[in-house]
Amino acid sequence: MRKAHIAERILSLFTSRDRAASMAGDLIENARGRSPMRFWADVCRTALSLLWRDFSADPSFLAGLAFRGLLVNLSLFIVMLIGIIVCSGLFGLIVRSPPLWVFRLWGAIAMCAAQFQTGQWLGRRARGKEMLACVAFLIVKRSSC
Amino acid sequence: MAEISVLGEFEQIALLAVLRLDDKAYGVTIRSEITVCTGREPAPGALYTTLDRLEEKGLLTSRFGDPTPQRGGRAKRYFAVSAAGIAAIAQSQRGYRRLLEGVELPGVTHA
Repeated sequence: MRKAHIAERILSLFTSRDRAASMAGDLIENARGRSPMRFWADVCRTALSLLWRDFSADPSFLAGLAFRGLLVNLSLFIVMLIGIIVCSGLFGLIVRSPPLWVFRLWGAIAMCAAQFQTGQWLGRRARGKEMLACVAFLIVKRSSC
Repeated sequence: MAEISVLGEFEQIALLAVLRLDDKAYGVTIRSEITVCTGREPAPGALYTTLDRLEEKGLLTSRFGDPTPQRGGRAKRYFAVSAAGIAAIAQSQRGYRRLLEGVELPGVTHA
């Protein structure tokens, strides 16, 4: 039943928890006597159908959310960058000529923190459609680079 | 008078399958009923999105049954056709029947 649990977790990224659970149960019931590949193909197809349904239901809301997410992401990154510069200045007062990897590590942490916060911001504004909001944000971010 | 929804082909198929199954209509049985009656196996994603859309339109209602051990404690989601759903099917079928009236399909006898 481990695969049912994983399937339920995947589907709950695209629909409500109780609906995802019943869908996973149906897919498990359908998969009896069939190959596991067929089961996972059905899970992926169902997830993609749900993703497309939500996207086509309100594309303008998603586009707006993705652009606002991009602004939030940029703002967070600038705040993090300022934080790094301030911290580097303070660190430079304590340790003379700190190694380069320290700055790289801070940079990586700042990037991860900005992405994580943006994901949370998007998730709060698209309850039950978190994955869809993140996919829309990634598309906008990739196309703006 | 309330406006009756226009139904797509697969929406009609899904509603008719739910009607045929009565109180045993959930994802698995609906899918197999469609396969048996039409000869085509619908993709599970297409079926769930159609059922959700029909529920949003008020043509279907759904409720969760008790969790069963065969499904790892996951509840079945049972569907039922609402009065608006029955009216929508009736209207769609009337349209098909009117279109068929007086039409001879070569090699096919009318049921």
